[in-house]
Amino acid sequence: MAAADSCDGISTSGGGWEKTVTLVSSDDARFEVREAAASLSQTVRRMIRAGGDGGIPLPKVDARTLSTVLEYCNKHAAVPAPAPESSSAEAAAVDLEWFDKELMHVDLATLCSLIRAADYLEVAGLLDLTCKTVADMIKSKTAEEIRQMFGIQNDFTPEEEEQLSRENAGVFE
Amino acid sequence: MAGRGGDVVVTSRSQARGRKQRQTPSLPFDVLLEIAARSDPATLIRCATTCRDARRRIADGPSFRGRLRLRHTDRFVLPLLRGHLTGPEFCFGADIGEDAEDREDLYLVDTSAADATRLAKVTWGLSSDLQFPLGPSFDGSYVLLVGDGEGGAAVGRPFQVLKAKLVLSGYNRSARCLRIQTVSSEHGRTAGPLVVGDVVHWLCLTDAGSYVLMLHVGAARAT
Repeated sequence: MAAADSCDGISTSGGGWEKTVTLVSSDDARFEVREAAASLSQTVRRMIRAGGDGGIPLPKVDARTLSTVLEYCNKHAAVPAPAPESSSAEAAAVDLEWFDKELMHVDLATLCSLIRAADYLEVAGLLDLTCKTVADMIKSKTAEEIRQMFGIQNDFTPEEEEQLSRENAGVFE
Repeated sequence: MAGRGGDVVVTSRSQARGRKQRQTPSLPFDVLLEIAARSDPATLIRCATTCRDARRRIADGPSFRGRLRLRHTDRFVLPLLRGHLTGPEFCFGADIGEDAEDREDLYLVDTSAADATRLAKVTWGLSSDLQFPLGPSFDGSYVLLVGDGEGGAAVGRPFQVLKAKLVLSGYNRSARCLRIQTVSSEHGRTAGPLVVGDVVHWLCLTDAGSYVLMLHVGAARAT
């Protein structure tokens, strides 16, 4: 919190309210977000510390993706738990899990955008969530299908491929 | 939540910045490895056969090393061995070969619901589930061993499932014994420790970690 004092240019609405920061997507959409939520992104957190004028530019994330990322951040940086009462804490965890599941109901292209954004913004929780989701998607896929999904070039020579199948141990060596 | 994944981020990122653009138009290579790391063993192995970098990184990466693997012995070659020894569910996978006709997936899933182990064998879309009662149940660790088959034929490759536990008892835990059960594809019954040539193998799991005890009968030495 103290770090935010140094960033004069970033719009903050102090007073009784939480501080907010403005994030600017690659297509110039501006998002005003609670600083606590935005700070789930280590990248943004560093930029807040560094300070700057007119909002924090995020040139690698478009508005659509950023809004989803921020939806995640807002939810996960929710109001500090009222009381560490076990039943409500449990309910909150269930709610959060449900929220995550709903958020992941998107196609692969959207997921990939989210992964790229989470990677760039360094939102560890979201990166983990999205990677797990994709991991589930590739579960029954063959190597060739996985290559096609992610545009991986098969750079094994035919000889190597033959060797791979002959020396079964090869995959690990 | 990010526990294990956190390691992956750090290690893989520092290693392979330079290779990204060639590999992945859509996702950074490191991120693909993150995804692979979160998949099951069989999928992880398939990921490792997609390209050279993936294969090397998954084979070498410290983040992928937590899983058990055994290698060559005299007659019972262990081509690929993977084991998850964490959590209530055990899962092993072996994926042999890359060519269409030479491909085989094997995996074992202990549903840990009953004292029967559910063994699923998958061969190119052909799937058959086998139920193997493992007799009186005891907590132990499982390992899947896959034989290389004499003629190199993938289908019908022999395999064994080994379950073992090191029991420590007595003062200072000085008395030790091993409880072992195995199930093989050929007999479908429980048997003793795995004997390979003149080497007897036991898989042990202790508080400190898991290891394989190999008793070299001829040389009378244990490793």
